[in-house]
Amino acid sequence: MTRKLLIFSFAMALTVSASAQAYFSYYQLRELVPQTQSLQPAFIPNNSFTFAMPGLNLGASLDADFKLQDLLAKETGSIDYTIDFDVLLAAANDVNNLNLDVTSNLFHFGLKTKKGAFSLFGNVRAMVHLQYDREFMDFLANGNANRIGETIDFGGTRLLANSYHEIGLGYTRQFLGERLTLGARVKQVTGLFHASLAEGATGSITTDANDYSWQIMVQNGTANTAGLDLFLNDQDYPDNAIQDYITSNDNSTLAFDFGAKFKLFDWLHLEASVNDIGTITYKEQARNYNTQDATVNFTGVQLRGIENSGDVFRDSLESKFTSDETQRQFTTDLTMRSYLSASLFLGERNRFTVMAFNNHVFDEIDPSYAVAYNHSVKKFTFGLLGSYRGSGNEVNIGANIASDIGPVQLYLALDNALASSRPEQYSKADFRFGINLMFGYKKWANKSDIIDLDEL
Amino acid sequence: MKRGLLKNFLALLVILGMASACNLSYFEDAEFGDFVWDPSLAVPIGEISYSINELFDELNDAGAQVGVNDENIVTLSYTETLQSQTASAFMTVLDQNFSGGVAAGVDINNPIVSTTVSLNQTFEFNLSQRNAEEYDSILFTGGNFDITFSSDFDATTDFTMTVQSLVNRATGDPLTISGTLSPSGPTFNSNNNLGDFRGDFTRDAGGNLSTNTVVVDFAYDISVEPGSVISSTDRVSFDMSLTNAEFETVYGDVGTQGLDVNFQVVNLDFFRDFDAGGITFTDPIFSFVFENGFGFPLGIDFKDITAIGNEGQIVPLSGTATDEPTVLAAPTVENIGTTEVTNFELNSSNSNIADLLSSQPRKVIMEVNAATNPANGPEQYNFVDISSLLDVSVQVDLPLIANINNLVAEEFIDFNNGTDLEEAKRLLLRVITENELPLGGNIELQFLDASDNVVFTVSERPVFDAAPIASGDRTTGVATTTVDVEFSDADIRAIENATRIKVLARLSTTDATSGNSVKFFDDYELKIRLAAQADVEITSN
Repeated sequence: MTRKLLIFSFAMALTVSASAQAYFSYYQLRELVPQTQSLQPAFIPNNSFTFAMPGLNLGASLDADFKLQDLLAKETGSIDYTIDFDVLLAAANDVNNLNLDVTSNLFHFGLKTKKGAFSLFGNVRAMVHLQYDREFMDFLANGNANRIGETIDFGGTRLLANSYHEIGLGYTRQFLGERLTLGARVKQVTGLFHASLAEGATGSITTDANDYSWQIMVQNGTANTAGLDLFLNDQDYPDNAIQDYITSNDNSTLAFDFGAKFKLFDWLHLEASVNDIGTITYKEQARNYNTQDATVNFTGVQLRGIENSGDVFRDSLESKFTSDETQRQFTTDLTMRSYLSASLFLGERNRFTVMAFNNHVFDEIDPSYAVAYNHSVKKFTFGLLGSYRGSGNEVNIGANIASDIGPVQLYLALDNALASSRPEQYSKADFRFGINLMFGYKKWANKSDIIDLDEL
Repeated sequence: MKRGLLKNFLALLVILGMASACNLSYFEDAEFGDFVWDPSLAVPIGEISYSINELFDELNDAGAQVGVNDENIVTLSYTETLQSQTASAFMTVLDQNFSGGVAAGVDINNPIVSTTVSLNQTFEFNLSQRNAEEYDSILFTGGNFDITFSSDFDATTDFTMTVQSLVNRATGDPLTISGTLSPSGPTFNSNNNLGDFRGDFTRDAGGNLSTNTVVVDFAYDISVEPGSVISSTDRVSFDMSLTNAEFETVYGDVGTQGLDVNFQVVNLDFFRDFDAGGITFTDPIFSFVFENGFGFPLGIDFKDITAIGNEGQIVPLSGTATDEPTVLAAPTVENIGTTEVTNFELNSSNSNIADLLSSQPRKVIMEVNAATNPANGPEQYNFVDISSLLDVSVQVDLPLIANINNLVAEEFIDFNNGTDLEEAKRLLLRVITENELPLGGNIELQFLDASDNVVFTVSERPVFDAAPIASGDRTTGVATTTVDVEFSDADIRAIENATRIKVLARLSTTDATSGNSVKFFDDYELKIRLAAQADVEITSN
């Protein structure tokens, strides 16, 4: 089992790229799990004080526009898998996204007040977003020989990979009695490792129908990275350079989460949140790999006296472009996420929710939707939900559960619970799991729920 | 309370159950296989341009110089040098002997008193030479001139010999030898280094002009003592021998005789590449440069120049140039040590060399015959200096003005790219030619293995068309040809075993069937561009 889990985890890591990361199911844990404030700052915990177990709250979300078995394909009769661009092409939509989000909650202190709540928290987060169009995958799968006389446009390819740690303070307060709750979190975000294509980076290759010569166009051809040089050229740095860089660097900035919750009726609550508003300006360890805008024609190499033809071919092609490496600072947006939800309460224990999510990566609006049901009793909740990420993707069935055993709270949320069985047949997999120490429920419980032992 | 606790335990079990309910059979015992990338790539491989010079250089095997003539027409040139025999081999002063003697002419028997009898005589000898050679003088540098005197007299004889024809080069005096012969010492030897003398053979004993004449004055006195007896037939004799003569210069007339000139074989490697088909050169030229250091005119005949074909067929040179000897000028006696240069050209107007070279000979035997003082040459006083020599350089120029009709050229190219094809599963090779030459070609490729077995053949197909010629000598445009050669997976696997390629090119000039010749100007260019569509399969291992 351990081996299978390792392979599965590795496969998950390989599938790096996606554009959803909704954590719909995790969202449904709401007031029971204080860390859900990272999705909706307007949530007020049910207990007075929360202490999250360091390192024991973590989650990952991976979604793509293809199934895992499309990426890790197996040929008929083979037990080994490989990456097969033909399979990926067959599974490709016009535009394809691959998103990965990994979050580890380093610490969380929560304190509930009469009108709201405070929180102090720290997370380490990493996310990768890759977007490519069908044309790009067609090129990888089939090359350019079936596009002779045509232009293959790579403009639909985008990449953003970002990792950072954040330390923040949150405050939530109720207004209008208990009808309106507003929450905000301010975070010091420190960028760690980054890789992205510059905004507007595009390129194309046109293959001449007669002599197969290439016309290659590059615009805004810059790839920005940060922190990667510590690995790529580790011999240039002292032994503790990576540790020092992770601990403290000049890539810090402020970011914000905002949330609101409105009780339209006692049985209908509306919620909205926008998280991760901000940018990171990478000043330290910034590297820019630039290729000047150019449209070049490549007709091959001079064949007279040629030796080491592969090297000559590559050098000749490279020499047509003007490239350099700089260390200019650059700014990148955090992956802003927004949630809209409406919850219908059938009594105190049963809640139906419809919600939408968008992660705004690459400034696109491409929401996912979910319908959820949760049954909650005091410190326990259990829920099911179905989520939909648009045409071409399967409907996912998720589940969540949170419960306390004494002061110890365990929770687990999955947007695609079925992925744990035959994960290769799904294009989305996620989990959110954690252990908290929860204190002070009784103070906030309804009087009717409190048993007066003296009266008994 | 118990109910709540139970519920929480059940929840925990659900969590653990969900976490452990993974069905990861897809990954069961699975590992990452090799990553295989199998796109079909259309790639511009590159281009190579051949100037006409370079193109013929490729065919030439370095046997010829590829140059340009005055009209900027590419010309193949072969150069050879011939040389005559040396002066010392051509001219030899024969070893020879001269003898003479003078008798007393009187009988004297026991005179009362001492009596002296004086006698003298001038001798004239003919210097023996070969053939009709006639020498006026020779500057000797070595050799022997030995004389032995002997006396029959029973008396003492004092003699003096003066060889008028041998003049000491230092003093200007003739060779003079004096001595005494006696009954007890009746012989006398005189050994002389011929190198000290100049031979002057221009006067006879009477002082008249002559040639090849050696004049010797001989005189002696006999002292007849009382009691001695001499007979009238007693005499003093001498024997002269001239041996191992070496000379610096010989003057005179060498007559008419042959001067040996070595021959050379001009290997026309250019034609080795050709097999079937025809090539006709319009204006080939053999340019001779003769540098004559001998002091006599020479007559050259070219009749022995012959072309030898691949199968031994012989095409001799003929034409007006062979009708009578070509006369080479010679330095005059005032210019000993210099050379006279004579240029001569064999071309299509005075010989059949166009036919000779159009036979695609593998070699040409370049042999000329030289004879001294030809009948059609000038009258000239002769000399032979020890440094005299006849140097002949000959340049075979083949200006590429030719008609080529289905000429099959054969070339072998090493092929060591088999391993580069391992990842190719299908290959479509596109050859695009842009040809300014008035020469087109069909190409067949035979891939040969190490044992020269043909492992794959690309059948003959037109690869480059001849450029058109509308009028005048030059082509009027570029002929562009595109040809695709497709190799299947099996073809490529076969080619992987090849070690070299036999290229068979069937060449024809523009409008070749009309018999017209075309000119290959040096600025013509054949540009070949290669492109490929390749189905590759690149595996990560």
